[in-house]
Amino acid sequence: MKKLLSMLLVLALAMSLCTVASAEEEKTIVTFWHHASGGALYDVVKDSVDTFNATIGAEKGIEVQETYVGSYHDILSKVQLSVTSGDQPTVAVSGLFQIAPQVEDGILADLRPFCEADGFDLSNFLDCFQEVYEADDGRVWAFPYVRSTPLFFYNKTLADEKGLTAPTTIEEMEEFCKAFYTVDENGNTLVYGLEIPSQSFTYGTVSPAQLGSSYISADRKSSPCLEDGTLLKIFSDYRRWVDEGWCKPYDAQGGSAMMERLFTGKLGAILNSSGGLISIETGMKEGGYEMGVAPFPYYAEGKPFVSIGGGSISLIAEGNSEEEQQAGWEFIKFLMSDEMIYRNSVGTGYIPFTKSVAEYEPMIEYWEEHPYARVAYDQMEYGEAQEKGVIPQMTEYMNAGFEALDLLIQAQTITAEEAIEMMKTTTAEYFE
Amino acid sequence: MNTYSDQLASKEELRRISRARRRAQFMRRLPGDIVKLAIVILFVFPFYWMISTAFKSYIESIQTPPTLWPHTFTLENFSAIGEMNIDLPMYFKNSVIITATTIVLQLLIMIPAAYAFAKRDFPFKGVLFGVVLLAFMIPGQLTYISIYLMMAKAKLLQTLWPQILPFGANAFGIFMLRQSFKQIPEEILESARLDSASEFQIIMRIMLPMSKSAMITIAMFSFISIWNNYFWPLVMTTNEAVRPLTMAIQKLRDSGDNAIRWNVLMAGNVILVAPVLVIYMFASKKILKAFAYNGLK
Repeated sequence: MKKLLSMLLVLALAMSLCTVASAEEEKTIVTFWHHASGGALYDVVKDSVDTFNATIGAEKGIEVQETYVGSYHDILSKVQLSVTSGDQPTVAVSGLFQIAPQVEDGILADLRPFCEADGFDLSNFLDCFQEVYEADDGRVWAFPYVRSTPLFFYNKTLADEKGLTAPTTIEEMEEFCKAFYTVDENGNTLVYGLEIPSQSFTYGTVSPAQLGSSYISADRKSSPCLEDGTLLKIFSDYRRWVDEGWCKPYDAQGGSAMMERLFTGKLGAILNSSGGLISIETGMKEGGYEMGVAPFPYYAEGKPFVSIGGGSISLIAEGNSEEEQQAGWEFIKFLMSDEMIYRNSVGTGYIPFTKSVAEYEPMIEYWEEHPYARVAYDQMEYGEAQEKGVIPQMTEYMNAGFEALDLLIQAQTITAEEAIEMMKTTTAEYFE
Repeated sequence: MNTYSDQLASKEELRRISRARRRAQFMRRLPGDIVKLAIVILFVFPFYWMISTAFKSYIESIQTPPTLWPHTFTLENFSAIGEMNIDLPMYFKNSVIITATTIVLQLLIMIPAAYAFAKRDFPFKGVLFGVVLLAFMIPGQLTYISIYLMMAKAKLLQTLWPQILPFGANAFGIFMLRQSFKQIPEEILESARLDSASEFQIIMRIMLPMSKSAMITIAMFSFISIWNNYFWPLVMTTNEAVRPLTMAIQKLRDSGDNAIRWNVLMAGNVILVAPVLVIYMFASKKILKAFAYNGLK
């Protein structure tokens, strides 16, 4: 009996192993690698895939299989590895600075021929995305997908109690956030005014462009903001806010603890990605508060400017047959439809990145019911994609800024001047 | 001659001495017991925290100061997992298959290897054992790229095998089982050979029954490490259909941009850890025995 049971067990295991990835029917498989590990974004990804498979996929014999692969960096590494092993995806999400290495490696497919064949209108993308995805030779390597922009989120319930109006400038933001700041008789902070989730967020969003400067010069040979004092002003202001106590320095736990403070009324406002809008709204509601959203504040002496981050989507040419590429294109095209862009934005808070979606009836209705959801779209008027005007060592350049901010804001062991000097020293070789 | 009252007095004296001894013993042991209790709390508290958080509402799970026990006891976190876009039974099934097959494979390789290293003589035995120990020390992070390419070449990436085959030879298990086999007296094996027992019979009838505790311990450690493996499935798989439960739990972690739903995540962890705890409860005595027997305790 024991032997029989053992044999049955072994047989069952063997059968399971053989049948796990059973041969697909006569369908073209599109493997879609993404970074959505869970939550609202994963729900949107899953919904897109399921809807495609049930509609266009069923009609054209295409099946999309989605897989979470890791962060943008993980996706890049794994795509590069997979093309050498022949197990590459058909469609993949990429971060801002991960497109260029794939273009250099010849991994990506040029989307222009597909656009021309299907009459896909590239000019329908918002103006801030024009010229971002097109190379100088006219080839198109990616489309916007999960693009986000920083917004000013605040506790509207507390703000209304204090009679505060949402700020538009950095100077107004200071006063607005200071009003939340509460300490007890022992000097312990009960409510902070402002928190920014991480060094990368600060660095990537509070841009010197608001003050008329830039990280990288037009000729890519210098970093103007390190020389003209604009980044010094931004860093000095941030440090001053922290020193004054009302602004909480970002902590090692990432943004999670920050969100918890916001949801439980221990924090008045945050600067955060629009991609978190739905999560923030839900969390604040559970905490008994109403969420307020305002455009990203700008320096009064400067001009409104906001950077656009997030991810893009590409078609992998290397190792994929023409039929597979065509199937992948069908999926990408589907994601660019008004309906899917609308669903993506409503489900997460990511920017609806086309012009036509603003005239899509469900989107209009949603914006009418939830005016805060339109803030991100409206500020695209003065938005600029972060991958514009970059150097090949942009990741390293950004990391130099992260390290400087860590010491300035988190460890508080250097001054803003020393942070700028540190950056200058580290990044000098990129401009030689 | 003792009177009755003298006898009572001496009994009372004995009781007093006994009480004093017990008190002295108690006081002597107290610091050690406090340290042991602190260690137990240190190890048990994270489990307690995981379980209690799994039954809290989101807001209660993030409030400061934290609550030690759920004020509003809820099962919604478990039902929330069920309502998510996650095919939990599929991931669970994959985890069971991967873990069970790997352990069976490990035992098939480990037992003869450990027996040979412990009881047989052959050329380059020391060097080969050194190679086993070397394998024990190389982390998966160093080998995964070459293994990934091998698996891709063998067209196995869309199956469960890349999560099983690389763990088939358990270097730690071979080492530990060899130590256990070495403690079995040679005379027992000699007398079995005199009774015409084959090597296979010696392994099955003598070595394994006498090393049952070590076997269970190794299997338990393997079970925990394979069941909880996250890195390997992440880098080795490109298809949700072949991913284990740990990958599903990761989906619960990022249930909001920057806002981790600790209550749901902990409910997921309870599901993940439950089989490990159940098996540990059955195997704990054997594990203690194995370490005591091997002089590692």
